[in-house]
Parts: sequence; C-alpha cells; structure tokens
Amino acid sequence: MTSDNPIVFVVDDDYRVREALSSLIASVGLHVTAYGSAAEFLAAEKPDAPACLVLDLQLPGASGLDLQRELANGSGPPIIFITGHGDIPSSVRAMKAGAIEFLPKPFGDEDLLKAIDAAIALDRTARQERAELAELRRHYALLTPREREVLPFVVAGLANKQTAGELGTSEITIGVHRGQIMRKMGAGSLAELVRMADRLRIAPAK
Amino acid sequence: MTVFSKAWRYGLAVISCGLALSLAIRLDSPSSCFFLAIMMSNLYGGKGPGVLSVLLSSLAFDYFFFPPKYHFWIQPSLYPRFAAFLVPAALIVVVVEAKRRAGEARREVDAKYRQVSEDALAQAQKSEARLRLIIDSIPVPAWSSRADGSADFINQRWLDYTGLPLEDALGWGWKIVCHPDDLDRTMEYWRSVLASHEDPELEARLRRFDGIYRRFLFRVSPLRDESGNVVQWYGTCIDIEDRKRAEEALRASEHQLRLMVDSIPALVTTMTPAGDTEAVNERLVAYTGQTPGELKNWTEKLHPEDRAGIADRWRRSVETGDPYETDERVRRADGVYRWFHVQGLPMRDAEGHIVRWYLLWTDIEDRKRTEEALRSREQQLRLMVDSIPALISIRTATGEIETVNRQCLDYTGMTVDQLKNWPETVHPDDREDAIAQWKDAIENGNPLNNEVRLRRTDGVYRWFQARALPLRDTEGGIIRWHTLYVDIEDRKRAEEALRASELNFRLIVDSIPGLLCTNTAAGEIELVNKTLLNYTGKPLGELKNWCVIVHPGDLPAVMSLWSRSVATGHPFSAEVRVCRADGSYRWFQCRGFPSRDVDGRIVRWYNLLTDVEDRRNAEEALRASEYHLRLMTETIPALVWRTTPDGEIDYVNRRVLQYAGKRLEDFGNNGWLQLLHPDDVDPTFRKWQQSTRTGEPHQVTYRLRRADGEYRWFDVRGEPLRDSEGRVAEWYGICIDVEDRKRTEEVLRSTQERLSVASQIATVGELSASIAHEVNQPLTAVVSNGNACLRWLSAQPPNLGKAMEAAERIVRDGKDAGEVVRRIRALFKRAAHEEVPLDLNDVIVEVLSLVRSETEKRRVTIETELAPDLPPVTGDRVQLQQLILNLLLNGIEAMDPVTDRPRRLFIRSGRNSEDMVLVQVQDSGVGLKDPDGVFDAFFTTKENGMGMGLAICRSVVQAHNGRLWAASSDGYGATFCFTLPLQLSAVS
Repeated sequence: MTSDNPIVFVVDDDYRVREALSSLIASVGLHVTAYGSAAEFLAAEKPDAPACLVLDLQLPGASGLDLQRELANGSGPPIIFITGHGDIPSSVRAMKAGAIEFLPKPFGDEDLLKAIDAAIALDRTARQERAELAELRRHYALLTPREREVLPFVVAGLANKQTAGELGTSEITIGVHRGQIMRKMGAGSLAELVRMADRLRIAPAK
Repeated sequence: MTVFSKAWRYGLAVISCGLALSLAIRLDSPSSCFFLAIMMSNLYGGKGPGVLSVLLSSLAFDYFFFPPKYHFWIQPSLYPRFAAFLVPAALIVVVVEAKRRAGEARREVDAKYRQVSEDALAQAQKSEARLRLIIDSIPVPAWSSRADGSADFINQRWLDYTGLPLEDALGWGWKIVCHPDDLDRTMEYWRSVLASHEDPELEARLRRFDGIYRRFLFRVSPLRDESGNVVQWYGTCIDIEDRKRAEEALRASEHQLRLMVDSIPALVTTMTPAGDTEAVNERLVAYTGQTPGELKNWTEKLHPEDRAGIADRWRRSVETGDPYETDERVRRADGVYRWFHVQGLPMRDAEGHIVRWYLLWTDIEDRKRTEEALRSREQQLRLMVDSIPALISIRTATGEIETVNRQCLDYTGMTVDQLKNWPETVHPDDREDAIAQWKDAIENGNPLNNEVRLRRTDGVYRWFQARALPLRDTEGGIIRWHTLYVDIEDRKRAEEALRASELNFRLIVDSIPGLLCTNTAAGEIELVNKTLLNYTGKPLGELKNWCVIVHPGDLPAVMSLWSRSVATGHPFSAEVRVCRADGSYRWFQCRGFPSRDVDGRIVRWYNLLTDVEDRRNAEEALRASEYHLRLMTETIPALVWRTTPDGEIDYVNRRVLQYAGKRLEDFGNNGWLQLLHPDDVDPTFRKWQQSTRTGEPHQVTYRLRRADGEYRWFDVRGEPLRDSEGRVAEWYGICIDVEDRKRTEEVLRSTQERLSVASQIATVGELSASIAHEVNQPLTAVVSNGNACLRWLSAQPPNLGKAMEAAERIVRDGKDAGEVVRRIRALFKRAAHEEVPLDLNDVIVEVLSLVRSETEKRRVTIETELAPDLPPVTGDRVQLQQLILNLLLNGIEAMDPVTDRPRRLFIRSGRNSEDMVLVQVQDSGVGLKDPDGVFDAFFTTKENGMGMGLAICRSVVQAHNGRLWAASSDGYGATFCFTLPLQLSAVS
C-alpha cells in the first residue's frame, strides 16, 4: 500500500501515555498507531507511507535506544524520543544516532507536533530519494556486462576512440555501447548520465 | 807241543845244515862240516831231522860243491865222491839213532823206577795225614796215653776245646783243664783204671777255652801187646753237656706238666681205649671229693638227668673214636651240680689205634649263667631298642642300612628293604644336605650330627635330630654306624615358639616407652633396654656407673634411697632427672623391684624408669592453671555462682558477696530471690525451675539489688555441668552487669533511628530520578490528554466525544499521580516505630513499583516468586519497606558492571519454618567477597556511598527479632536473606 498519508507510531509501555499521545496526535489529523514495546512495534505490519516514531526511552525488554539501533540499519522512520527522566548521556546517544528530537516528559503539545511534522517531512524526502535510486538501479541492472564496463569511460568524459583504445575494441562498437547505455539508463544527456552514475556511486574511469 | 817240538827238531836240522854250509864254504871242507850237522841233527832231533839233514847236505853238496857248481846235477864223475859222503852220512844216522834209542830206553826205566818209589812214599804220607785228619776231625776230643797214664797224643779237637797248646797238654798237663771239683775223682778213676785195666766210664767237667766247664763222658780202652800187657791207652771224651741239660729240662718239664695238669682250673682224666678211667688230676679229686679209684664209675657223678645220655654218647665215642664233646652237670663234693664242658680226644699210635682218651672237664657254670644273663640282657636291650621312642638304625661302614628298630619301621611305614633307599624319606629340602653329610661322615669317619625332616607314614614331615656314631674295630677301622633319630618336632616348635616369645619379649622390652634396666644384687647395672640406650646415648659399658646419667642435684638423695633399698631389699622408688643424649635432663619416675631366688636372696633388681617430665609439667601447669582459674573467678568483673543440681547455691565469688553485701549463707534456700527486683522474681524463678528440671541452659535478664539499694540489670546465664552419664552434676552461672550496656543500647537505638532517617533521606536522593519518572508518567499523560482535549474542543467542528475521553483520562491519571506521591511520602515518612501485622508480599510489591523505573533504566529484569499464602508478620511497615528497598537497590547496583549475562533480580518469599518467614533477594551481579563484612557500618563498594545501608538493614531486621545474612550465589551474584518471626496469632 503506497500512500502519502503520513502515519505516526507511538511506542510507550505506559498505557496512559500511549492513550494521551494517540489522542493528541490524532487531534491534528495524523494517523496514529501505538505499541507497548519495541518487539510489538517491530512485529507489526506498517503502511508504506511517510512516518515518524515517538519512542519512549525506557521500555521493558529492548529499550528505546536498542530499537533505534535496530532501525538505523534499514529505512526506518525518523525518531522522536520521549523520556520520564532523561539523563544527558542517553539523550546525547539518541541524538547522535539520528533522533529528530529528545523530549523530556511532560512536554508541551507544540513541541511534539512540530517535531512530528519535521520528521514526517524528512521521511517523505528520504522516501522519494530512495525511490529514485531504486529506479536508477533498476535501469543499471538492464546493462550488459560490457556496457557496465564501458560506462565509467563514458562518464569520465572520454571520447569513443579513447575508450575503444583503452578497452582494445573498435570505436564503432563503443559508440553502439554508448547509445545502448544512454537508452537503457534513460539518460537524456551525458550530464544526466554522469549524475546518474554519481548517484549509483559509479566512479568515472581515470 | 809235539808240533812245536817237531818243528824245532826239523828246524834244528835246517839250521845246523845252514851253519854247516856257511862253514863249509869258508873252510872248503864240506864233508866234515855236514857230518857234524848230521850228527847234531840226528842226535838232538831224532831220525827224521837226521834224514832231513842228510838230504839237505846232499843238495848243498850237489849245488855248491860239485861241479857244475850251482846246478842240481852231478857230474857222474863225482858220483863216487857223492857216494862217499852219502854212505857215511847214512851210517852216522843209523849209529846215532841207535845210540839215541838206547839212551832213551835207559832213561825211561830210570824214570819208571823213580816214579814207583815216589808214589809209595806219597801213599804212606797221605795215609798218615788222613788218619791224623780223621783223628783231628772227629767231633770228640781224643787222646792216647802211655801205660802209666801220661798223655802222649792229644787230638786237635781236644786242643781246640781246651785252648791249650799241645806241649802243655801232653803228659799230665791236661789236669789243668779238669774241673777242680772233679779232679780228684778223675785221678781216682784213672788210677783205678790203670790198676784194674778195666775200661769204665767217667763223667767229669772240662774247661773250655773260654773258661766254661762242660760235662764230658770219659772212655778209655787199652792197646795190648801180644803178651796182653797194656801198651797204650786210647781215650775219648764225649760232650754230654747238652744231653744232660735236655734230660734235666725234660724232667723239669714233666714236673711242670704234672703241676699244670694238677693245677689247671679244669678237671682232667685219661681213659683207657675201652673207656674206663685211667687217671684223674688233683682237681677232679678235689672237686668230687673222691679218690681216683672211686672215680672209675664217673658217670655216677653226673646229674641224674644227664646220666643216661652222657653214658650213651661216651660209649659211642669210644666205639667210633670220634672226639667226645658234651655239656654235663657234675656233682661237686658238697652235692651241688655244676655245668661242665667236657672235651675228649683220643690219642692214637702210629698205626692209628687209640692208645688213650684224654678228657678235659671245664667248669662252664659261670659261663652258662653269664650266657643266660647275656641272653636275657640282649632281649632286654632288643626290647629297649624297639621301645625307645627314637628311630635307630645300624648301618654298614658304607652307610647301607642293615637293621632298624621297630619304631623306625612304624614311623616310616616301610620295610627294611625299602629303607635301604632312605633318602626318599628325607624332606626334599633337606635331602641333598643329608646325603652330603652322610657321605662326609662315611669318608672321614666323623660322627654325624644334623637335623632333618623325615616323612612319616602319613606323609607328614617331622623334624629329627640325627646322630650317627661309628663303631670301630681295634685297628680303628669303621665296622658299622649306629644312628639315632630323635623326634625333635615338638622341641623345634617349642624352640620356635620360645624364640618368637623371646623376640616378643625383647620387642616389648625394647618398645615399651620406658627405660628398663636390671641391676645385680649389689646394685650395678647389668642389662638395659634399647630405649634406655637410645635415651642416654651411652653404651652399656658407660652405664655401669649409673651415677653419670643422674642429675647431680638428685644424686645424693637417690644414692641414699638406692643403697637403702639394696641393703633392705625394699622396692625402690624415686623421681630423678636423667640425662638425655642431648645433655638435657628429664624427670623420670624410677621403680625398682628385687627378684629373689628360692632362698629369698635378692638375685637381681628390675628397674623401670618412666618419663614423667610431661606429667610433671602438666601437673605444674594444672596447678598454675587452677590457681589462675581461681584468681580469675575471684577477680573477673562478674558475679559467678554455682548450685547443686536441684538449684541450691553452694558457691558464689567474692564479687557477689561484695555486690549484694551478704554472706554465702544468705543465698541458700532461694534466698537469692530476695535480691531480685520484685517485678522480675516470678519470671526468673519460673525459668530457673524449668532449667533445673530440664537441664536446659538458663538464660535470663533481671534486676539485682546492690548493697546500696540500687537495682541494676544483669544478664544471667547458667550452664549445667554433666557427669559421664549425662546427669547434671552442678550448675555454673554468671551474672553480668548489663546496666551500662542497657543504657548504651538505649542511646544506640535512638541514634540508630536517627541514622535510619538520615539513610532514608539519602535513599530519597538516590531514588529521585525514579520517583520523578513515577510522577512524570501520569503527569505526561495528564498534560497530553489536556492538550488533546483542548485540540478536540478547538477543532472545527469540535470533537466533543474525543475531548470528553481525554478529560476523563486526565482525571484518572491525576489520581494515579496522587497515589504515587502518597506512596512515596509514606515510604519516606518519618514516623515512630509502630508494629502492626503486615503482609510481606504487599510490602515487596509496593517497593517493586517504586524501583520499577530504576530497573528499567538499568536494564534489570525482576522476577518474583512470592508465596501466595504467606502469614502476616509483625513489624514497622516503613522500616520493612526501607529494608526491602535497600536490598533491591543494592542488588540492582551490583549488576551495573555486568554486561555478559542477563541482569536478573529474583525475589522470593516463603515460610522458613514454623514461625519464621524467609525473604531472599538474589542478583546476578558481581557477588560478594566478604558476605559477613558487608553488614559492617561504613562498608561500601560505591564511590559515594556512606556504607550505612546494610548496617541499618541488619539493625532493622534485628529490631524485628529476625536475622539478615548474605551469601554468594552459585555461579555469580549474591543472595541476601532475612527472616522475620510470624505474628504470634499466625503461629498458633
């Protein structure tokens, strides 16, 4: 399910806090799903939409920081930490690991909602970038091995003749390859192809 | 000779012819020269040489003188001349030959005549010499004398015998050799002979040349002339000395024989060939007491039983001539019969006829008896040999068994033949030795003496002592061996037992932990045991003078005691210090006992020295200890008492008397109760009675009145002293003045309470974060709900339902927050100690709710196992909450460093026993190094801890009559446990 309706996940072991936050976030028109523990959150199926996670630092079992570490690997949503008695080392660690905000309980509704908006916006951008890159990868996957060999020389700005010399083949063959590459990658111009290669982390040939 | 003579004669002819030739040539007169030669040759050589010389002369004539000279043929003219020569020559030969023959015949007659006369003379001379030789050589001195008796010839024999020269002997010289005693008689005889002309004989002695006189028989015979006158006397002297002597000897011998026959200790008779008694010897006469005549009927003298048989046998011997031999009894003169051995031998003449019987009667009575005795003794001996309990065997010189006694057969169960192979009966281990020893004995003739095991008939081997002695003949050669095997099995065993026993004794003597010595009756050391030698380190020789090992300080006393004991024989006992090998002295108890012989004299002293050094030291120590104990009892700052098993006081120390200002008698009959505070009398007396009844230790606290009337608290404890059967023998007790302690405790308690409060405050600080969290949670909910509520309300259109829900949640969460605050307040409330019935599980749950955020923060899992039906305890809720809180926090903190395992806090509650509740708090932390030390005040492992927490916990538990302890858990972590008594109603 792909939707642009952002969703907010709340993970807190205290049901009172879960209820209060769900109600507050819902009151500004956002979708909210609350979970009692990190495990519960991880196990749940989540919609493919921009999201953010409001996470209690202290949780029974895996703590908030643990969950953050777990999500950092994949394309987890941005995290807003809330804590009953946040100490400085925990907050530093949370922020370093990419948390959007660190809110000590009790917090004002503006602070929380602002953080949620920012987080969702961030997530939306990230999601878009991820989608584009995936598209590029899909194109790149269409290239033959020889074409992938040729690509770095093309993006390095070498003429077909030079490339043919480097690879020990004819200029015409290289020209055919180049055309195929441009076509398969969907690049309108060489500059666009160079950008694509850059995003795909394909280094130009030296 | 004849050849030589013939050659000579012919040679003479040749030579004379040669001479004649040479002369003839010179003289030129051949005829005369040759005639001469022919004559010479013929004269001295005989006819042959004469003819030869004629021939030679003829040849010489022919050759040299007749022409032609030097040729052997003669001119015929010269034949006459030659003939003239030959004829005379022949004539000469004939004449000279005749002449020579006549001369020879005459010479021959002369010689014959002369020969005959010479032969006659020689014959006469030879006859005379022979006669003289005969006379001289006849072995009889002989002589002749003239008619008047004077000797005119004496033969050489006579001269040789007497050694007289012939001249001296002739005439009357011979008288000199006549024995002086016989001379007169001889002369008389000679005269008578001369007068009577008869020729009798005379015996007279003549002196031999060496001076010995020998007897001679003189005989003379006269030579008469035709007229019958005696012309000459011829005499001989015959040596009769030897014959005389033989006669004398014979006479003496016969006499001796007679004497012998009469004196030999046997009866002798001679019998006629017909068997009759001929002669008897003196002894027979003496024995029978009968005359020889009466003995004709000798058979009557025999024992009636023998008579017939003997007579018979004699008759048979007489008839056959066989030697006669019997044993017979002959009656003595006194009528006693004695045994005689009779031997009779016949004497035969040359023709073999029996001339006479000789009977010899030998008295064998004694021999018979001896034989009898011998026989009986041999029987006895045999019996003895067979019955002595030993194995006896007789062996040949080479060791072969000849005979054995019955015991030998019985023991081995073998026959004599089987025993020939005697080594089989010897034990295999001893066999080789036994055989070798036997061999040695046989070879060297040494007596054998060894010990061997012999197999009994049942196969059992027993020890035997073997002795073998050789029996030797007079030359010392071994005839046989006598061996004796004596069963020494039992002796061996006894010896071994004895040896073992002796060894045991020796071991005992050497191993008893005392010094032993024996002294002579005079007191000198004789023997000591090894322990003594080891102890003193001196050899026995040096110990003879035992004074050297006694401490000089003890010596005089010991010497006098010892000499008195030796003198009187009383047992000796003293304590002395004896010098050890290392020079140090130790105390010994010395006891000596005399050993006496049957007469009561002391033979030896037996002394035992027992090391009493340790005992003495122990005694000293005991004495000192007792003294110190008494001193201690009297001086310790406590009241000490002792009672009989039924509780009657029989001793109190001086402090009791001083404290109470009473005398010991005042305590009797429960008088001590009057000293107690009136409020304490009853419970104390009850407890005391229970103790004396059951024997349980007595423990009580009461107030005791001092002499000045002030009551002071005493902690009293009494313990029973039990005898070996477990019965109470005495009660010992002590009263310790705890008045000051009691007061101190009061102070302590109040201090502790204050400290507890301080600790509470510290805990508040420590828990502030947790508390904040507890409060913040509902607060966060309240604020968020409040905001939500506002937003729902301010929404267009307002969502009243949602707003309502939020408002309700606000109320609910506000209450929650209030409850939290209340609990916290209750926990830290400073309230007076208040004991109420409590459910410990409630308290635990309450405290857990407080630390929940703390455990979450520290990633600690809390597990509980709370007994559902836990009975209530009595206690102060706040203090117990504090106690549990402290233990939980401790456990949580202990797990801070743990990263390699789950941080797990485990709380369990339950009944420990009938009247106790047990609570355990177990962590998986670092554990405890000193489980007891943690309860000490100011013990801490935290950087900024006060170290009061657990000390306070313990005092809290103790204040609740419980117990708190800690232990390291299995593996890791620590466990804190406390017990609390149940509420009394719950117990019942």
